[in-house]
Amino acid sequence: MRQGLYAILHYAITWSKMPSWEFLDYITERHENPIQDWYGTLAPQKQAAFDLLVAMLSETEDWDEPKKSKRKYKELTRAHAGLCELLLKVNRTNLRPLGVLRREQRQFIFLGGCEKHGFWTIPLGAFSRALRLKEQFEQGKGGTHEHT
Amino acid sequence: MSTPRDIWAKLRNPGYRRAFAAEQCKRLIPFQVRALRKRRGLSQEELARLSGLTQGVVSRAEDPDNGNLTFNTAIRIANGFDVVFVGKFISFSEFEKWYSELSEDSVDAPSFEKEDSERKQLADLIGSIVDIRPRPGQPIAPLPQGAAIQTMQTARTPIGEAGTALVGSR
Repeated sequence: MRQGLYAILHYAITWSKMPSWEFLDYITERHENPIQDWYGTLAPQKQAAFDLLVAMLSETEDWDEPKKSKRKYKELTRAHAGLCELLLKVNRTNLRPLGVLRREQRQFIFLGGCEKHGFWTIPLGAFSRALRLKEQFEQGKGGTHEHT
Repeated sequence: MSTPRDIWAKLRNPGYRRAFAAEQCKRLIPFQVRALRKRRGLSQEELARLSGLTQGVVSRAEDPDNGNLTFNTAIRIANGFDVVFVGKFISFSEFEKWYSELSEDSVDAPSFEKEDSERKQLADLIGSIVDIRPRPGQPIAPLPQGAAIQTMQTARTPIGEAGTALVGSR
């Protein structure tokens, strides 16, 4: 009886602390973690800015600012339809963590990231790679785990 | 948490630590401004009017990617919300605790006017409570019918000698 009560209490406390959004890392069949691999190449300032962006978005109920230009994400169209990029600017450098936005589950699954300089990205072909990973993910290949 | 706030391990890297300390100031203040404004149900224009700023300044203050927020603007926005902006030097442990609990709800801060009103209400409530403790010479109110009474002893209570300890049993 008491254990059941504790379980309910624990669930209630956990639920009340649940973030608004969940961020997950996609893990490929080869056990690669594309977002962490990219994160590891960033300078500390960019890493910190990225971590803070994820922390803030995870606690932001409504991502949809009335002005589209103020939103911190963008759902891509045309060649990269289905992908979503987070928008982050650090010292005039545009960082673009890439992934899949699942609104209904309130999840964002990271598939990689890049720096965007006009039409160029560092690393090159980051969007195409993310798109390939998205297909793999949708085919049920690989898995996900909590973003850290 | 989906985005674990277990940043302590990362903070062991001095480069990351310094960068994080600088970035959090730049990014978490705009987060708080936006969250607090939303909780108050204010538009950017309304907050700007209350703060003596323009809507554009409030918009930029809410955007971490838009330049640097000045202390002067933060103070004016605090005035607009009728709260205090505290520039305080704290340890990383203290910061970690605050950061781990950070949410749109946790940044809520009531205005001085609201707090003052609540304090007055509380003071009125306390003042209206009737002191029901028995006084010396004052008869003790009878227990409900059917309750057996056993007199234990007459004890010296903090409020006098008339506090006869009674035990009611069913």
